[in-house]
Amino acid sequence: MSFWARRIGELVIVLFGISLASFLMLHLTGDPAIAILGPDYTEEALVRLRQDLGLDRPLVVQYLDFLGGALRGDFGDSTRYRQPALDLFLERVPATVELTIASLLVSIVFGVTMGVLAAVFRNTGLDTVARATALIGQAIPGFFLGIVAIIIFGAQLKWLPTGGRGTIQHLILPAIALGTYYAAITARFVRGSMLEVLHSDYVRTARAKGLRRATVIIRHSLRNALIGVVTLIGLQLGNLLGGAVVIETVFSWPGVGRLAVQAIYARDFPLVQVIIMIAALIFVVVNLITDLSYRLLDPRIRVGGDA
Amino acid sequence: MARKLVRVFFRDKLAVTGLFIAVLFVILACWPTAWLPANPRSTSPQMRLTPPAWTAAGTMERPLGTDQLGRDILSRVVVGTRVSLSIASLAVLISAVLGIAAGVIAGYFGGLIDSVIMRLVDVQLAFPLLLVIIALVALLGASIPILIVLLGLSGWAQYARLVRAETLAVKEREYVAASLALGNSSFGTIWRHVLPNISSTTIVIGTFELARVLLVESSISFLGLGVQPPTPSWGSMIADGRNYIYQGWWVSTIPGIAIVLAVMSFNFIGDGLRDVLDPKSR
Repeated sequence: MSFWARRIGELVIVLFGISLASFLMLHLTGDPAIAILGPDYTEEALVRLRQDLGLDRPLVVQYLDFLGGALRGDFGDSTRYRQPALDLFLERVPATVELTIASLLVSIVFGVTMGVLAAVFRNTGLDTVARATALIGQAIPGFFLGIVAIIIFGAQLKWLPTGGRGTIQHLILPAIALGTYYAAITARFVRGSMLEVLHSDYVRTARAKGLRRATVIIRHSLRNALIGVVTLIGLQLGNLLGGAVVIETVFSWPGVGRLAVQAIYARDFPLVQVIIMIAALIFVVVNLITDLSYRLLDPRIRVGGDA
Repeated sequence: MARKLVRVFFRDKLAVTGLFIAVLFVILACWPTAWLPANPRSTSPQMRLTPPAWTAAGTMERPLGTDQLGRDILSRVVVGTRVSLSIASLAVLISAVLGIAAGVIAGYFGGLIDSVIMRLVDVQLAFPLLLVIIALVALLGASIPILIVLLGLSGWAQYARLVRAETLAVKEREYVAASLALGNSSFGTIWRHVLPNISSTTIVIGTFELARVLLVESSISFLGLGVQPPTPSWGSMIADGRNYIYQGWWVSTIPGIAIVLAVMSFNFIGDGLRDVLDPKSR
């Protein structure tokens, strides 16, 4: 129980740190009012805008105000759309969640299949092909893979749409572009842990009992090898916005990532601040859930200590 | 001992391939650019979107073709190598110094300072890195020095976490206790006994970080918030070709291949070094 008490305590401290960092990021690197007005501003307009936005108050007061608002779910208004920033964010969430789930499927299906096949057929041609694919997949920037996919499947073969959201066909290319990196990581990870499990005593026992090879691989090896994949899924979910930023821009996908980039181009910093802060919150919460499921799935693991 | 490790490294085919490609990139980046077919910045409208030399419409004067402004892609990729590699290596240097200092202090002294540093690491890792950097670049103005500093500041947390774990292990060794018993100060002990013994870990992290920072920098430049024209960079070259996927597939594809090769070579070297320096991870 003390593990959970401490874990929650840490979570609260980190959440506080996230709010402070997101606040200071905007207020110490420059004057948000100047950022909004652009380089050609008059002194008069600046003073008025600073008063409107409450920027003339002491920094501590501004932060407490920001924190109080955030706790009530009020993250301020977007300067471009003149709407609550949180609403704009929530509007775009379904598109990003859809893309993330699809890319998660890509990474799990391809990653686990390739990893298991590579481990079971170790040191064969299949293993070499799977490992080479994973090594390349890990090195291709998602946006480049996206453009290559657009050139081949969109421009040349004309099989799939190259941008926008709507049908399931629209989802295929962005999901592959976003999921490939994680599929590669998953494949390498699954191959490694499968090899370890395949050489363990209980698998040898199961084989010695006369069980079929496929039964041993699926029932006894895969289940244990997959526990670690939970962490990878957590990592990918936690980082969803990081990857979505570029992929959504490449494929004109109307999600949170594209909203963030457009907000940055439009110098709509209150909106940017909300998106960054909520992304950080999601990351921390997903991490906690990952830890929890890890402990539930594998009773041998004690995630205690300082890890 | 060292010679044996070198031999183990060179037996790893992927690691040697990675090293070969990386050395090639470094030579390309450092070599004087006089041999290049054209000035990477000079445009020529009559040569725009010339395909690479191996295609029917290509010419040896522009071996890798030209972009939408008629600029030579080979020359731009080579100068882009120089830009991207300098940014990545300087940024990794900054995050290494910060991260090693934070990680060693956290691991060696423990207690409150450890908790504070590790919570800072948690906060840093929670933020969507790419989004934070492009937001700050938009605020501070896009320039290469700002990009280097932001990329450098963003990478320390990963370093700190791994260096801390390694320091915890090294701290328990007899030579650290012996050094303290001989009356050496904590900092003297860290300098002479802890740092040398975690150096191999830091080199492995640095290699992977180089690959990661190259990817992040290319994404930022792709979004138009990193390296600014007319300076060529791999990421912005890919962005240039985006509008010409029908007329000129090579404009995006060739700089993209350069990124993939560079990132892959650093990953290969990192994998190889890790196997050599930490046989358990094999």
